[in-house]
Amino acid sequence: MRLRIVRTRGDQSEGRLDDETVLRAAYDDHGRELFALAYRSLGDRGRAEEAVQETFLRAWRGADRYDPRRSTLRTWLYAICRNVVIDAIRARAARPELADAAPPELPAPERPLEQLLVGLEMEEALRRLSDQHRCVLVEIHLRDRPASEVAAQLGIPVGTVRSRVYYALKALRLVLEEMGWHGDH
Amino acid sequence: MVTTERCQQMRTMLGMYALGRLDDRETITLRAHLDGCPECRTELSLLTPVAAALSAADPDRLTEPAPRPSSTLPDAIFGAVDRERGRKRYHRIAVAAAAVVIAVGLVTGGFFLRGGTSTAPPGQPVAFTVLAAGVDASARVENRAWGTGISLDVAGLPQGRTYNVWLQRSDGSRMNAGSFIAGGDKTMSMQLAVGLPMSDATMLGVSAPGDDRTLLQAPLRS
Repeated sequence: MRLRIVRTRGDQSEGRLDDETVLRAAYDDHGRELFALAYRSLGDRGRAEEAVQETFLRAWRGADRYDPRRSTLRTWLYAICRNVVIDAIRARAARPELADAAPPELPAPERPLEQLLVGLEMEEALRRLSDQHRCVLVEIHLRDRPASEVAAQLGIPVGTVRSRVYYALKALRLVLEEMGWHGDH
Repeated sequence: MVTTERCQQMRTMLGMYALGRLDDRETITLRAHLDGCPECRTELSLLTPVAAALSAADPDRLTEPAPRPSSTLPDAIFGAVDRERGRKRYHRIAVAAAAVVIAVGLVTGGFFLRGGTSTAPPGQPVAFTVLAAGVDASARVENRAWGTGISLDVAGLPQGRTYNVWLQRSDGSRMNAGSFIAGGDKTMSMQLAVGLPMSDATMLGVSAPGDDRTLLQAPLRS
């Protein structure tokens, strides 16, 4: 049935989003992450909070459009927040003539924003990994360090580091799927 | 047919390969295995998009504490939801009341329809002291038992964009009064209901979401 939020992977909420208890649970589960997204995109706390508020208002208004069979609640809220952020960036860029404010920095359109979104998503997923798994991916892939150096630092054989990379990627994929990732569709 | 043990051996290389960190010799060995092993190819196809997306992560952002919203944000959010819920309810009541008035009017031979031609709209007009270039606006505010009623007409704001209307208290804090989509040159007329006594409001204003700049502003006398 379309209007119900059934219990899905990674979401504890059950019930309709226009029920305030459900909406509050959604805020408790995802509010901070959405704020981080808005803050990183807009670079300002006040704007970021307005964006999160607008996100939840839109979610509340559009509660009957949310279909838990098609996406997790987190993915749906993320998509709304992304649109709110894009609107805010556009609104800011489009009206320099309406006020005497400083020339607008144009945090150029969607491409860097998409990149930022993917990056934040990945960082959130990395935080949910075990320290061991996160460490090898961060050091080898993100900080570009040789496996031998990382092995020496950790005091383990290089073969262990290499196989750990494999298991870490598998674990990361699972975490991403739980978060509702659909990066390769 | 390759053995599971061979696959196991190769899979420790698979992660490094997905990250593009194998040397040439190892790459050749692994590729030779992949050519003959659909299982390992499937495994690789699951890891490659993850490795690609992972490059977008920022290791410094990962270690710094995540930015946290202020503790008052939930109140702001659910206050806004409550107000909107209230407006919807008010709207429903108003529609029902209008239906009753019309029904009574028809029964009594159109007395209300004929008699109610008084043109003065309710409330008092306000004067805009801030008006963005090219924008035309007029507004009336009315003190009501449930708070402040606002009727607002706006033209000249960029078509299709959304704007917030707010009331400001004397301490500078604002209460959201609703939002509207601008119609360019077309005048947009709206009725807004705000759960704030008119005596507590010092200013009526309009700004774009996510933008602190005030586009329209009028002081209120209460």
